[in-house]
Amino acid sequence: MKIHEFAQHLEQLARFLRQLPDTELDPKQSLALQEFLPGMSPAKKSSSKPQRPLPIEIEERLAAISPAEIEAFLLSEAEAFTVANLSELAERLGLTSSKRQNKNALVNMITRHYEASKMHSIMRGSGPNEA
Amino acid sequence: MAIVVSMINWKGGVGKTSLTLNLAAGLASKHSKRVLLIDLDAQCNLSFLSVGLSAYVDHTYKNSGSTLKTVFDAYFDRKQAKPEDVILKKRVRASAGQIFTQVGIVLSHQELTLLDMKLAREKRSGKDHREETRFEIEKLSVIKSIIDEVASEYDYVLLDCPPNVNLVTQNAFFSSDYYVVPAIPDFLSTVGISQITKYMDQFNQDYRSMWAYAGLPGSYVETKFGGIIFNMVDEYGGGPKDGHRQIMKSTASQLGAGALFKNYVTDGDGMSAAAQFNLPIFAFNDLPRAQQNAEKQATYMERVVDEFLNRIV
Repeated sequence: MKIHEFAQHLEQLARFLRQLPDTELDPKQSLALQEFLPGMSPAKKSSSKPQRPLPIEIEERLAAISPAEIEAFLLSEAEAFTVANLSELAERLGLTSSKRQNKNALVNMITRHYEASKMHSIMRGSGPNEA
Repeated sequence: MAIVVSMINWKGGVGKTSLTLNLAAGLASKHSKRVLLIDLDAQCNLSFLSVGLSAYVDHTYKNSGSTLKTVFDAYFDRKQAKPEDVILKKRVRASAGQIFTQVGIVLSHQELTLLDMKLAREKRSGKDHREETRFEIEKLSVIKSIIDEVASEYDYVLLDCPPNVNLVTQNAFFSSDYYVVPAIPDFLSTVGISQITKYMDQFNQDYRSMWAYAGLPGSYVETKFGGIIFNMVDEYGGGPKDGHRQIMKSTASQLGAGALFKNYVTDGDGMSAAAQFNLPIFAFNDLPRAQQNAEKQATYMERVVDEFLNRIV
């Protein structure tokens, strides 16, 4: 955005604000402001930094390793998975996540999902009666 | 010195394991207490919840790691297991990505069921009946001998007992200062309370006689009744629903008002959601669902923990 274009937005914003009652801004009004000035909306700003995509066939790769390895892989610095990445992965796995979950909580949820899907073989394949 | 508490009810499915784990979690995270958990149930549920299913399998079966079975195996071999071999430290999960540094655990083993029969068959011949009684007391002291060695390292030892009174469970009872009965406010669960308290009175009497007859120094210290903690209580209007309130009131009138913890844990899907993700209820923020219920149950659990601290002294 150029400086004069930005100034124009500010003038429009000032005119708009003067029409409103002189009270504290609430969340709804903030949203209305964003609609009024689409050029300044956060969505447009964040689109300047593209999300790093999840590795190809990550679901299959995770299914082939142990829960401890899944946890280590998802938390590894080399892979650097973000909360957004992990939320996307959870969604692809059909898991419902919550916005209150941090990275560790998402990794735990995904790891427990894979562990639960292998529970039968884990329990049958190990133990005192293992054939 | 650690206070040793057996968590027991004759009735299964009353939430003994969840309550035991969350008591430990509350004592450690809210009161900075050092806690040792011992899983005596051959179903290994406390073990699975505390360290995770695959971590348990890796430790016990793939790496042949020590469990409570190791302690009893040593007894059969006339040896003493080393606490540092059987107590797993820094393995109990506190929240997603974090472990409790002050909570240790002795894991259970599926073969504890068979081991009980072996323990029952074990007869050591003594030169007279008095010596044989001492051997019987040794058989009941297998868990106690391990706890005694680490008693100064913990504030509480919580033993998650199976819903039976076999010799492994009697070992827990023999080593305990208190027994606490988790229960749900329904008919069969309260029958279980009566059954277990009756057995416990009988065990105290038997052990006192055995101790005196064996000529052991001092006297047998009775395991005291620590109270009943009601779990899965349905609420309406800020208190237990009518049916649950009536059962709780009836139990209190029969066993005495002081027999019940004033605080209880409400019903809800928070506990089961936390269990699904191998987390204590206090880590409700890490759950993808049932966060509100879990937060409510964590609040109630915290009150139970506070009362536990005041009652079990």
